[in-house]
Amino acid sequence: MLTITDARFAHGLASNRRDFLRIGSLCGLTLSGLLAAKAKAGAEKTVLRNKSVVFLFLHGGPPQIETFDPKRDVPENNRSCTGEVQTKLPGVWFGGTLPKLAQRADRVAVVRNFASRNGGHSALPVLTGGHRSGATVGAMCARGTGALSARTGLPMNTVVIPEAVMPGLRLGEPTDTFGLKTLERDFGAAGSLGGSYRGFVRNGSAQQLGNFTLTVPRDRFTERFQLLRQLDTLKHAGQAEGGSDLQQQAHDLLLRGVSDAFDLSKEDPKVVARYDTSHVFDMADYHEGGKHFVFQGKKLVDQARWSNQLGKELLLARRLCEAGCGFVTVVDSSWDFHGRGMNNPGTIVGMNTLGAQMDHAVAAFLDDVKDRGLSDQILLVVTGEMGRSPIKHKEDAGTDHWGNLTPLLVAGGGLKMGQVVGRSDRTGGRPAGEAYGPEHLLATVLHTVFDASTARTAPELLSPEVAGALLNNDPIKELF
Amino acid sequence: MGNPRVTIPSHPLGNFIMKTCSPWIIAGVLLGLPLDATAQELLPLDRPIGEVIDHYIDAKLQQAKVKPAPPAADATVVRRLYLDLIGRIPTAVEARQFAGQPLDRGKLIESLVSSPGFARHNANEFDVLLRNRNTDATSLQPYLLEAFQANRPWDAMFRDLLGVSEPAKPGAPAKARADDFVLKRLKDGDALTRDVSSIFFGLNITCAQCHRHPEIKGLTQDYFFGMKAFFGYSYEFQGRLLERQYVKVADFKAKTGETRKVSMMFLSGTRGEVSDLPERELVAAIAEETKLIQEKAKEYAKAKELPPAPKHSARKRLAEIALDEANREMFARSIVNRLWFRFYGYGLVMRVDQMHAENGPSHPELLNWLARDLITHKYDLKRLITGLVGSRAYARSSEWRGTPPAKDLFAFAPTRPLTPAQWGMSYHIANQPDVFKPDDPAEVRLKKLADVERGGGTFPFVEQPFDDFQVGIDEPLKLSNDENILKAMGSKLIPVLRKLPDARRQIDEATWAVLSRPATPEEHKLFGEYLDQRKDRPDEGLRQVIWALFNSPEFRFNH
Repeated sequence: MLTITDARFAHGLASNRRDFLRIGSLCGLTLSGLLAAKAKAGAEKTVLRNKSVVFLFLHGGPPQIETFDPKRDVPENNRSCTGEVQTKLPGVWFGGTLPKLAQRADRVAVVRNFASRNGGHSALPVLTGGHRSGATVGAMCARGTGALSARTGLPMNTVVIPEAVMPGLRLGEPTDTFGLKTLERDFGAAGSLGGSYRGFVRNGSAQQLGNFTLTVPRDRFTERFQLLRQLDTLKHAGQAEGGSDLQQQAHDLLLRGVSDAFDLSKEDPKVVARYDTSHVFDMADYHEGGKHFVFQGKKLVDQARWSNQLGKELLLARRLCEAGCGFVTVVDSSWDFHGRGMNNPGTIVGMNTLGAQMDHAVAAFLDDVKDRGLSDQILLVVTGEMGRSPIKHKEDAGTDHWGNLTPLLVAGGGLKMGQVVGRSDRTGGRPAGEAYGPEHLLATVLHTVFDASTARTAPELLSPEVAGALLNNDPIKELF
Repeated sequence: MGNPRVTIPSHPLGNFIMKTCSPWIIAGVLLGLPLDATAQELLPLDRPIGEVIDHYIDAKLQQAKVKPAPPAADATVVRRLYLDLIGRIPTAVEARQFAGQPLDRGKLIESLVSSPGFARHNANEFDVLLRNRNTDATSLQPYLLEAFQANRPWDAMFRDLLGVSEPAKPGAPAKARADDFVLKRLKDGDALTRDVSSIFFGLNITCAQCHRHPEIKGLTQDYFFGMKAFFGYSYEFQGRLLERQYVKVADFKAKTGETRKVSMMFLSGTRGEVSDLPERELVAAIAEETKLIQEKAKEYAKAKELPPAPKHSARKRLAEIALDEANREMFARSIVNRLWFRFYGYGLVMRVDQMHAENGPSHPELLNWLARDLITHKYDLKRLITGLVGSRAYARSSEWRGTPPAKDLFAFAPTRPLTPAQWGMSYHIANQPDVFKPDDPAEVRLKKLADVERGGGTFPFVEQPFDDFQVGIDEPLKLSNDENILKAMGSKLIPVLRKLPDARRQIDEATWAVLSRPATPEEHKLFGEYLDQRKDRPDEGLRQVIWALFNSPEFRFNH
């Protein structure tokens, strides 16, 4: 038999008594390796806190003022162009298109001194927290938890885009920065951590789920595995110990039908209806041939991925978390409210559509996870790659790129809710005093997912990259 | 000549330096070089590499009172050497030639390193090394193939990659595009600095970019920016890597808040020259040079003229400093350690990009000896590789009963996942045994192997293993559930097996083809009974047997 004496493969399966692993089949080995961290969680000391993360990325650069940081004593062009709404927290106001979130302000925390320090559309500075590995925070988490869920075999790092919840949806192709290729590359990026941790971008195709669906006759499949197991058993002769539980899980992956987790038709229609945002605006209006696709004769090409499916995307995210997925990135495109015919609409149109949709979808998500008792188990993060210039153009409240202040909302995950962290300056242009950046956001997520105090005494439980990112950066301290 | 004791020169900076407080001090500390003035006694130069390895490895095993694993079976060693030296398993025909007679390992090594597969496999391996885990880095495989075919010394390859080699003599192998290594990284000077330091000198200095290195005392930002400065003169002109004579001396903002001037400084603290033009003249000189470059660019389509080369090349200076007597050991130790990691599954220093004094080698004398040997033998990689796989330690069994001893004792052979290239080649070799006939003349076999290789295709679902390897999700799913792969797996092997007279011969042939060894009696029994049950669908039965063999870890790993 083959004895794997190398902790790289045995990692997680190793126990204090027995720090080597006898490997069964390839599938047993590989999936076992991937599943290992979770299994270990059950067995002994663990750094895993069994939390999931939903990272809602408002791609394009959402405005800070019209979302979570409106200014009231400022000139007209600096005020929220969608008005303000009083939240449940005394003295705290949100932008006018977010009434539902305002009512739930006690269940969220907004960070008003967060700056991505990046004035371009790349999502990577925020997603990677500036980590040298080039890995997104989702890939980082998967590196620490194992790439697949031990319980169900679902990929631990998944990316949800509108196509995932609307089979057959064909969105247009905006310029490079916002194109599907860029999204697939950046939002799932695993950098030097290696392809195993890349986000699984659910693109809606049936073929893609085929990977998780048995393609061969079931009896032939089980027979084949049986033969392989027997071959392994030969080599196990005289060796009682083995990773057989994990092998079994691995083998079961394909028989279990994890693709159900991706299937919203398996969800209670009443729940689907509560999340649904397709009523907020008519998607067709914003696409080729639609009445809001052309501005003064110019096509607004960058809104080609404009969609009203965010509600269902968040529902899918919740389903995936329930099914064991550790990190779901939801990408909502077209938040680039330049206005003035610069490929995108201005802030007023943007916030009344995408903003209102986000309000509804996130509120539904908060209520749903609360009803299910999952609020402390799932951390929701809502942010974008940057904010907007605080002074708006007259015409349609168009704004420009702004890396000095970026909207950030977090909810659940067992963090301290019902608070406003930090503050911005008078115009909502920069943090006033202490500021947080992407490295703090990365650390905040990692501190939610991993137990830093255990990692400090036993860093070998995590890979060096994850341990380093967890321990070398400070999280947003007010949230802990 | 008896057993003369040879000493390695102590670090030229010596203890004196230790007492001063200039960056020079750090040199030795940083590099982990033997600083101690007392001579370090090493085995003599003329001992075979394999023998020296065993001398030092055995000494430490004895000290730790660990009895190493027994030698691996001959068939295992044959497979291991094929995979390590030419990147594929032996064909069934090749594997069988070694059965039933004692293995002459030296002869096998010699024949493998002289075969074309050696250059191909090393080109693949070094391509991965030079990418340094940047997934989008340009492949330098064509250059590397030529270099390994000509057994180009490692120091010469280093110069090629930096783009500072002397122009090739007519007839000498072209070094075309080796400098893409630098050229394609010019856009990201930080990554270039990181990769050069890490690949060639075993020291990832990234952390020092923003602050003092958290783990290495003395490694300050000056080192990072000092290394980066060697590339500050480089620019791209019409797709070529050129250098300017003048650049503005860059500043960097130190963590302490002060602004510091950047100047070329190697990792040992050795400085490169900086322009001594006064600020005002420098500004004018830069402007003039920029203008000239712009003009040349405009006229290039017609005139095909390049801007003049600088009087002093900064990259050339880097190569000179790195390879001079005081510093070259660092360069040698890094490649020795990386190749050691490749064949022994664990570095003499771990991690391989953290070679500094506070992270010493497990076998300091061995690392010093090997580095000295490499330098003495003019950076001959073929010699080093041949030596590394020639030890007893290399050929130990990978099995260990009970709690295994520390990996840095090298008491048993490592179990290493195949790379995508190794897996793909081996899969093709195993899948079509009928291509190779026992009586093929050597040149026919070579041609057939080349054909198989060309038709190899790629297997993107097989992950490139790194030191924290985990198999990706795609691989097990594809191998157990992808219709096309399942159809192809065994498609050429089954007809060959079907021609054999009985199940016993079929099982034996399949096991030789996939696992490079005869089937055990237990396997004969298991597969025999299974095939018997499947007599009504014999092809299907064989397909399942082949699937099980391909999916067994024995195939997936170099063990």
